[in-house]
Amino acid sequence: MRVALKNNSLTLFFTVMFVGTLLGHTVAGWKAFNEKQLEHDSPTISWARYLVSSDFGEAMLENWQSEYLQFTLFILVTVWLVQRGSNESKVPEDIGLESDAKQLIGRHAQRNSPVWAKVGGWRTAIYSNSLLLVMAGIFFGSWFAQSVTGWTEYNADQQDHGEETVSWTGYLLRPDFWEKTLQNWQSEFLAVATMAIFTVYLRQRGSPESKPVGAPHNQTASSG
Amino acid sequence: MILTRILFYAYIAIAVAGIVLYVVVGLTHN
Repeated sequence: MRVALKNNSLTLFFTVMFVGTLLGHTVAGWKAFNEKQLEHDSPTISWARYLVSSDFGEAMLENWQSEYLQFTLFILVTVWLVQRGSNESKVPEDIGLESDAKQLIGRHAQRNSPVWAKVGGWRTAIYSNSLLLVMAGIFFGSWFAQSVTGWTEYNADQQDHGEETVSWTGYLLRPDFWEKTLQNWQSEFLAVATMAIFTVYLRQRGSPESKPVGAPHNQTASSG
Repeated sequence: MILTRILFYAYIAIAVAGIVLYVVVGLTHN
């Protein structure tokens, strides 16, 4: 059991952080929501009711979608784009999808390779892109969920102010949707570009997110 | 590897549940 916990400590640590901060978000969001309700002489709601509100769903999912977009794009573009000297990049000689031999697929698969890497055909084609497909699926799904919860919130606001409501497609053209989308995207792109370029010159001893402390600045892709 | 597999499917479930729940919440105007 102790070995299992140690072997999964990275995911478990972030699971605890995720659950803790999500709970904190629900409480803080609920209290902020009720403060606004009181300001408008509207009835307050319970915490459980707030959990299944568009107000909470939109706030949560606008952050989810941007995180998954960041990783989806990073996984995709690092197939072809490189940053010389970065730990986040592969070496320029490896640009592209790489050979079957290097990727250990088909007849180059090892005895303990995943079955779908060995069999060839459509299954190997799907498995070869499975990380990207799942991450992109979660990105588009959470972005869609942000749009429908945001649409409901937007229309509730419009009704409160005696103004006309809009269709879902109409909401997609409103600045409200794009302000909430782009404010999250810009921070993700800033962070990922920073990580790509900082790991050329900066180090963290012992971290696989960094090159070894003594690795030269022009050495690319060498976790240590 | 059992815990690893549990964590993998848990994260798939979290993503799917979060998306489906709030698509329903949004579409039913809650």
